[in-house]
Amino acid sequence: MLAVTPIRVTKLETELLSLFGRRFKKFCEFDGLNKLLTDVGRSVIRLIESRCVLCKRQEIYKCLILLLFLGFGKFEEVYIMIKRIACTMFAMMFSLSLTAESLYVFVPTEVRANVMQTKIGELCNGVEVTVFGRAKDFRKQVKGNPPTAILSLSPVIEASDSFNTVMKGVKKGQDVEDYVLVSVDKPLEVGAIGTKRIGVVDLLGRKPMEKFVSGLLETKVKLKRVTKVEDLLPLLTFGSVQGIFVPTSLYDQLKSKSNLNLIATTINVQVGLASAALSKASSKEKVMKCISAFDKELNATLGVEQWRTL
Amino acid sequence: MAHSIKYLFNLLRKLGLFVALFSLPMQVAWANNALVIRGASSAFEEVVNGMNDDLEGEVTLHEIIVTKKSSQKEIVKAFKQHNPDIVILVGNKAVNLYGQFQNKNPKDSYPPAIAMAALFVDKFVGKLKNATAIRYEIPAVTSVVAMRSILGKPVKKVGVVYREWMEDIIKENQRYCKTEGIELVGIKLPNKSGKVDSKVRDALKSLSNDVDALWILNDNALLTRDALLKAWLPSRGKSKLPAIVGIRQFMTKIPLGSFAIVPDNYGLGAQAAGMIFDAMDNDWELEETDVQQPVSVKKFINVATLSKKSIGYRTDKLSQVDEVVK
Repeated sequence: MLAVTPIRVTKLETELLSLFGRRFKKFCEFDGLNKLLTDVGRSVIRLIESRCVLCKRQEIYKCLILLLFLGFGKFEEVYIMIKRIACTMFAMMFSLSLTAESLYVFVPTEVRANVMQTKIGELCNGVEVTVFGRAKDFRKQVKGNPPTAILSLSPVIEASDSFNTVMKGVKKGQDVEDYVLVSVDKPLEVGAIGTKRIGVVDLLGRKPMEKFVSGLLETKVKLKRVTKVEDLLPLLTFGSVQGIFVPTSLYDQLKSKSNLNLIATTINVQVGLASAALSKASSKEKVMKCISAFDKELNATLGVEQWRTL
Repeated sequence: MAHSIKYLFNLLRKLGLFVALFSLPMQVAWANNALVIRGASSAFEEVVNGMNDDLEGEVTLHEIIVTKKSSQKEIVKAFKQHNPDIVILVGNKAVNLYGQFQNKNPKDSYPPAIAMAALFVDKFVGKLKNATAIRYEIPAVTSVVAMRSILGKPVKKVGVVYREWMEDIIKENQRYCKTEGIELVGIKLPNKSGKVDSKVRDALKSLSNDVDALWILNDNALLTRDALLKAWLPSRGKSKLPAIVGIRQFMTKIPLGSFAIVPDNYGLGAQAAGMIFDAMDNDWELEETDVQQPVSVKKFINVATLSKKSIGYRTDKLSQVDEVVK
């Protein structure tokens, strides 16, 4: 019944579903139903803990509501009917509130997505947070299961037209960062970039990424896209590319990690830092509160120092 | 009136059939087709997922899953059916089967092929026509740089025990390591030897005083049951050196190392997709025939082993590994 998709059930959600069972037990307290509701709560928790670590979230709610309907169907009295409707309404309201605010995060960093998801999830009560490590997964989910808000680098947000930027990450007083071309042993000749192969972390997919980078460098370039930030260094080590196109902060990180003679060529190109954007229909309060709660360490991981509300 | 409606309906039906019949072969002719020949394991499936996601529908993948019963006739049939622009070989069985297919028709010309997720693929890909490959073995430099950033201390010399036939591979790894300021110190053992355990034991003893870390190769001939029980495990138990292994189990169930750096199968597929696009842009010809190194890896660390051996590590870097075993 439960299709496997890459959505992790959050700790918060597990707790809420546990509470779900207990609340109903108390509210709808009479013989038969009492046992049923305890069983529903237990089975949902068991489902989440065992087989359903990765599953479609909506399916859980559908499953819950269906189970409740089936259980209530055993009673005939009017009083019970009223309770049935009340309980069902409560269940629906409860599940709606769980899915009301969702935030998808995709900012390429070396920190693993699950680690970042736990951290952001802890700071964002009432917001369902999903962090993606790969651009493709992010794009697929945004298209297939649109969230309330997204947090990503500006080019990614600009590429998704159904979101409006409401907060911008700021570093050293600016919401953009300088990008450089990094090569080994000798600098890249800016005039000859069109003939070189350049490594980048994929943000937008093949054609949009080529268009985006070519636009910034003002010449058509041949890209080698990688899915993870850490995959850029091997491209240089093995000579698969002549240079990589990275923010200056990443260049500094690479220098501290590698003993290769890395050289940065300045190209006078700036790209927007991480920003948060909301879908047109949504309310922004919860998401903005959540992002404002990010601590210094988390902001540093996302490549910003603080957030500016627009 | 009824007659007119019937006439119109028949006309539309004929027109629909004509369009469908005409468009189907045109679609096949215009589409970019890749024939994927792969083993049945989930790792290979992950490779194909990575490739498919990155291709984003620009190239259609047609799969043959190799089983014990598979023969080159399946490839003949798939070639006739899909007329592939490129062939992707995932796993050693697929590479061997495609080799048999080419050998049956040595005078024919073949579309470009990319082999991957196959052990020591260099040995086989050279025998294929119009083919290149991505290695499955993770280069020492990738593994050591990953380990070094977590240890947060200089790793200047890394020891490795290898067999004679791997000489070229070790030399290539030494070259890459040198660019990162790492000296790869190798001890060569014969290709065939009756006393693997004692030879491994001597090699490890000799390396233990000379290097900062060990790089343990996935070589079945060096990791025999006897060699594991009599040489590797006793030596590793006593040693205070960190070691890198290429299989996660060698960091947990069989405690040989504290770092496991293994191929990222999804990333491997994405890397292959890049090569497919390159070939596509080059009118379905391979741009390069040199075997490529894998760029994407998964990192595992056993901090319990590190602590037991009093090896320090940077806790702030643990968020950068795929799994921390405690």
